[in-house]
Amino acid sequence: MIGAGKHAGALEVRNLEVRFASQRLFGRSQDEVRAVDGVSFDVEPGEVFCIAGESGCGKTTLGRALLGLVRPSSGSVSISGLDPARLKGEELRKFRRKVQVVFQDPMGSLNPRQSVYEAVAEGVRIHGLEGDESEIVARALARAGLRPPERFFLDYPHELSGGQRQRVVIAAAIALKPRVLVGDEPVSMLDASVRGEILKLLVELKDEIGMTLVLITHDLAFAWAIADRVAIMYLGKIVEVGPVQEVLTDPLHPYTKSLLAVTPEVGRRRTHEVLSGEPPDPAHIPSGCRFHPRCPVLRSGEAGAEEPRCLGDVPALEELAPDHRVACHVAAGTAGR
Amino acid sequence: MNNASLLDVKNLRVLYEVRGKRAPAVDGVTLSLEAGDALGLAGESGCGKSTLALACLGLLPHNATVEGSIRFQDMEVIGAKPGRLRALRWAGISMVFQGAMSAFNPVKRVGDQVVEAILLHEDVSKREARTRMRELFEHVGIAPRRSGDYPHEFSGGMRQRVMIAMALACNPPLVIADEPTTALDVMIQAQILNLLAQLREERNIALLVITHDLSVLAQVADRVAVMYAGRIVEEGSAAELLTGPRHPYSKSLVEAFPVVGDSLSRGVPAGLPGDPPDPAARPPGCAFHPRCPAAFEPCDHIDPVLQTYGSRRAACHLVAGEEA
Repeated sequence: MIGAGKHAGALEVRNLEVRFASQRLFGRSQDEVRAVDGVSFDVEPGEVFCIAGESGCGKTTLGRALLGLVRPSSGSVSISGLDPARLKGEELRKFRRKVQVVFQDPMGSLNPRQSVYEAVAEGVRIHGLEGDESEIVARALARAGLRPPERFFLDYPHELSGGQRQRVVIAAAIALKPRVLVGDEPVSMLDASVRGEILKLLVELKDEIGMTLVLITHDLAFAWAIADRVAIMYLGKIVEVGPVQEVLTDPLHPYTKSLLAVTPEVGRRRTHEVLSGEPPDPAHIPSGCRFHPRCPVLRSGEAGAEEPRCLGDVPALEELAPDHRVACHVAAGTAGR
Repeated sequence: MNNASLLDVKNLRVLYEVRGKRAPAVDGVTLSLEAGDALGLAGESGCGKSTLALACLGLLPHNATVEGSIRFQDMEVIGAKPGRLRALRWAGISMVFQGAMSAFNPVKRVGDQVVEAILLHEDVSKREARTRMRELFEHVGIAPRRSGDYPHEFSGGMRQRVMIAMALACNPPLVIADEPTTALDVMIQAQILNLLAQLREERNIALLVITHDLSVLAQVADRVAVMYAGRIVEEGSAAELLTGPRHPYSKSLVEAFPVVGDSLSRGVPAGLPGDPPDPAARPPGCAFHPRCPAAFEPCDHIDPVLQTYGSRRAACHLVAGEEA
């Protein structure tokens, strides 16, 4: 998968690091915050790839780096052979057309004083798409499920429901026929009944337009429903990655297990233990395995002989099952390294 | 349903004046809550669930007209004098809101805000109030030394804990939680839900949890009532309703949640097309019929009534037919 072939993936990320200077209100800038701390993965064309983790794990920063909205400190991103950090001006604009984004809050993505038509047409104009503008806008809106599209042209965001607003944002993104669509919690602010509709739309559009979907979420049930592969992030690193059916039914990393234990389920009351405490601070990353201060395996003593390594050595992401990679000393030990 | 309910809502209607027309946001809701009960109220935005909560606290805006009855212990809430309503809030019924940030005064220390709430409602000394505040903080899992911090110094989950501490300040027998975990991360959500369940057990507090997220109710509620277009369309024990919903609307809400490990929920989730109706233009017959996948002959002209079937209630022609 990590092959350096020219026609490899729709998206390739190599050793990506994004660091920020941590700032205090009335102090000098202190330690560095390592929001994304050495992340590598590939996404195949047409694949649905999910990046999951708690808030503060760096998943949103990673998404922003894919879009070229933050400049990585090191490492590279490549989308159809282009790295946004190395592009400028006209080329960067061309890149942006290929990679579109849908954020969590549609109200925040839409200009309240712009009509639905304008919201979709703006991108079409900026990127100078060929063809009749109103036809492109109408087709995008119809594809996003706003039918008949002409009825919505003159509406303003406040006149629409939450689901309809998100459809407008999606229409604006797909009007440009992107290669990759990044969705950062695209349904988490919507009503449960509307979520299914929007997810369905994203998957249908992916097949229709031939896009690759990269979805960022804290909800593993959502990943289960639509992703082909999932990467679990903790404090800026991928701790487990592989096919959804593998990672979510046979998780190997203790953190993935903890996340699964708290994943909401409708029919059953949860009995599992909830990890205590807030996710730790990316400005103070623990030594060794960064999950060790919260790790239930370590606390229960099951780590056994691996314990000193958990505290001292950073575990590497190793392939412990076909295409299923995990960064955990204990899991690697049990898998008979 | 017996004589000594903690909260008894009967035929409640709340109408808002919209563009000269009166539109019912809550349209004839009857429900009751015993001491120590945990009832979940589920539905989409605009179904009237938050309006119902505000009505219980006497907090409706001026353009709202209220009909029916809300009895809390021995007090009729509808039409009560402002002084009695102030006494009811916090000491009788308190509320935990969704956005904990906007519920606090940003320029006051959180501990002082809790102390203030205690002093307003109870005749205790400032020292006693401070002691109680520190106990409450400990109870909800916040180090009492943090009571001198300002709201912005807390994370979302911690703020929600302070909010819960504040709701418990005057030992109310009923806490209404409106989307208590909606803006929170999964791990923090699980912690807050565990806390609510634990407090309920320790203090015998009744909970009314309002949410669009049925998975939250699976964690904290004993009974669940599903609302649609201002009315309860199905009610039953959480275990029954969440594993075997009967009303097509409840079914669609349950099915909206994929279950990890269940091969049936792999692939595109079943969504519910369409939007809830405008309260000013309620469809004839069953208000859900335009979106209902199972609608049949009577649904578009006969309004189904909420009927009792054993331990459950449902307002649906389909369920009525199955039961007949």
